[in-house]
Amino acid sequence: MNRHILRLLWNKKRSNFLMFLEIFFAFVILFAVFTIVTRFVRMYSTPIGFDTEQIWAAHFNFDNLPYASDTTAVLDMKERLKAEVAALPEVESVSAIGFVSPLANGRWQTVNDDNGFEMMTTLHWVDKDFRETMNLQMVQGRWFEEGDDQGRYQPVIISKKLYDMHFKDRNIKDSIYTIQGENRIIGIVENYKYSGDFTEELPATFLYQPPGSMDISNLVLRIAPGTPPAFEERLNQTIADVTKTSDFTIEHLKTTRAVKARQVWLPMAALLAICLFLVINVAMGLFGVLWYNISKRRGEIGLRRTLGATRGEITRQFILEIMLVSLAGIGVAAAFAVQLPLLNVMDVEAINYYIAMLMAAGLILALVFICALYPSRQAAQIHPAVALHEE
Amino acid sequence: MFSNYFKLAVKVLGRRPSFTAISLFGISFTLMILILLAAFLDAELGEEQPLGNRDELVFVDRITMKLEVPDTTWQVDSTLVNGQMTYDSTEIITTSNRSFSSAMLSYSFADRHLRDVAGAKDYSIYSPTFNYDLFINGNKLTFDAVYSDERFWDIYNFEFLQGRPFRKQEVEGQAQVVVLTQKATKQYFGTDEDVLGKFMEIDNKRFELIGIVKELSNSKGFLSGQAYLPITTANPVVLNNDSFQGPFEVVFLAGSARGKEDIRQDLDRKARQIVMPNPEQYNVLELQSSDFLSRYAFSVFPRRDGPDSSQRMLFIVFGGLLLLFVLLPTLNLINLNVSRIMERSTEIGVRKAFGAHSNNILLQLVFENIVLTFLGGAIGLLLALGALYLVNDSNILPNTTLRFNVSVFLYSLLICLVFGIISGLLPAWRMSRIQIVNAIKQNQL
Repeated sequence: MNRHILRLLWNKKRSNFLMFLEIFFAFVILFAVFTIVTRFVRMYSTPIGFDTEQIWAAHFNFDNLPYASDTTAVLDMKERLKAEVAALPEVESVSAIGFVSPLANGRWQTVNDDNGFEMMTTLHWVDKDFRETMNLQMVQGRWFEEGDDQGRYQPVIISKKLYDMHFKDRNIKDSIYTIQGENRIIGIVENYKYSGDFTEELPATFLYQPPGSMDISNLVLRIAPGTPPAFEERLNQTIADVTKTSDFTIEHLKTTRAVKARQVWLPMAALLAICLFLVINVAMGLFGVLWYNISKRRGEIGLRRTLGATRGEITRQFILEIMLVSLAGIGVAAAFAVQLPLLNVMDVEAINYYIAMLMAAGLILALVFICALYPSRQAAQIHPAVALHEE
Repeated sequence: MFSNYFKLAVKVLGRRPSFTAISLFGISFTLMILILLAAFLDAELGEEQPLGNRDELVFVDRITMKLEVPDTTWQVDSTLVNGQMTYDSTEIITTSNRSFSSAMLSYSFADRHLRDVAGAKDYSIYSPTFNYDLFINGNKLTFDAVYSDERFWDIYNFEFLQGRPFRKQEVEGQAQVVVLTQKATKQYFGTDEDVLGKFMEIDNKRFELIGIVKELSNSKGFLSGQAYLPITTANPVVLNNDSFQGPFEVVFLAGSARGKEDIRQDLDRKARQIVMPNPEQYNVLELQSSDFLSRYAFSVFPRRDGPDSSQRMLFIVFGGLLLLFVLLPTLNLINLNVSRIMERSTEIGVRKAFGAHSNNILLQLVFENIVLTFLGGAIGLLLALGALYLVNDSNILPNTTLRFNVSVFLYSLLICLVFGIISGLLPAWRMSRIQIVNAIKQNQL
């Protein structure tokens, strides 16, 4: 039976080739789009690790202060800034942090192999109030406390991601590792995906920034729920009075997070919409072509029915025919597609490709099956006498 | 002859409405998406104001300083030859980057080194990076401010709705004047009538409104300001900063497309000649220059090798996607056409038997397909207009207004024609070469 079908397919190779080509390209497109979507969905599935709802961030450019050359004045201003902002009743908690601010575009990373293995981590300079303000979750150990900069080794807190990559199942509390100088690890936090929802979580290390540090360039604030929007003007005025500049911006992390996420999901939605249309297009085309081809083969069907083939067998024959052509198309395309993870052409985890491949193949086969079902059923309904009479 | 073909085409399309509907669905949606894409590209990359000189611009928006030191590696291979250990040592000298700093330019650097660049007809130094939170009746407005010199207005041809740009004397005299976009004017003053000459407060200074420009219809970061101020009113600390890096960029106007290459070469030459102030910190300086397209590409696909590499990447990715996207509906249509044309083998056989040439048949069948595509194109155009309205109305693409204009319409026509010819050619070619005997004989399929 199967060899018979193969011969039939071979005899009509010209028209089947077009079908093959269509399936081939449909697979390629779906594979590409599903890889992108899988990658972002998997990124999205790790929690961001901090609150954004009532959190505002103020970004400064302290290089341009009119008194920038007077270091004591700048240091004094930075200490007063945090205290005066914290004194506002609407501000529940405030933290002064270094150059890298959550959901902003900055990044600071370091790679070294001083510990005997290559370790990459992003660096975040934060103060003792950062955990409380951002609501970070500790897995182990403790957060920074005042006076933590006094010890022999600078304390650091690492993210669980970094722990899992290099220290899995080891007790590293109070161990000394070389990260940014020699550091004592005092705690582990759950997640810190600071670049946004649709980004890969990078291993993170928090370093302690004592109050009044020269490197403070951002504030993050937790605003009390129910604070009227007009408060922002007062906050703006308070900051401007302390810093004597208006060269700073206040952003709402909730908005920034939504904007950043939208930059990803909007093109993704557009891609999926285009894919959906392509799939519908291909399905309708297949349906039309199959319908037409099968109706052209009434004579053959009549003959088989007369010779004792059941309706089920006729249906099976047609479905099998078209499924084989599709499988050939998918197989050839998959052989190309599998080169991407094998040769590691792009910096994408291999699992994303395999998931995408399975999804694309599954969708196409399901679609082809559905499109073939109705015309094949119709063909099986043909009465042998009628079909042969036409002949 | 073509009117006959046309009548015939309409008849044939009516004969099998379900097939026609399937074909039309595919064609119209494909063309709708292509038209939307053309409108999007036109909005992003077209010669809209203020980018009338788009093809003659060269940007320098990044200065990279590196410390490159020779890196010597000793590699010793030990092998056992005839029971004796032999050593083969190699010394590999490469350069390694110890530190790296990349940022925009400082005003003093641009002013000192980029004033006379060979091939440049004009240039402008400006900073698009400042933004200010302004509060009007308790509402926050975040204005992106662009500090620029007066030549900025010659290079970018902003369309002024009211008033005028600031002039050389005003820039030199540190006049506190401002040009706003229309939307920003309405947001700040509540109206855009009789507002010229009124004052607004930015950065604790009072600026007089002297001009209102049309809203920018693009999403390019370096031109998305709402307020344009004379460069001399910027923070003096920023202006007087004498390091190489700061918040400024420079745009050059080349007289011609060739001029762009000259400018970029001269910039590379200049970068090599500049003496580094402390070579133990950084000893190599690079100026990143780009033209409009590569700069746009760089903002979409930032690549370490610079904008030219980004542009190649953009073309490859975009071209590949577009090709795949058009290929599938085309194949689908070819597939449908092949089936559908076979039905007409008798008619074609008869025509050939009466002496019609293969080419005539080919022309007729392709023409019929073009009629079908244009029908689909018309539907696609209506769909696209609806979609454009929806996209603009829902504000999905902030700062970008998609417009349907003549060039988009011409693109759509071209797309229809190409699509129709390609998808009709293969089936028609096959049919036109059919043997008369086979064609007239029934059931030979």
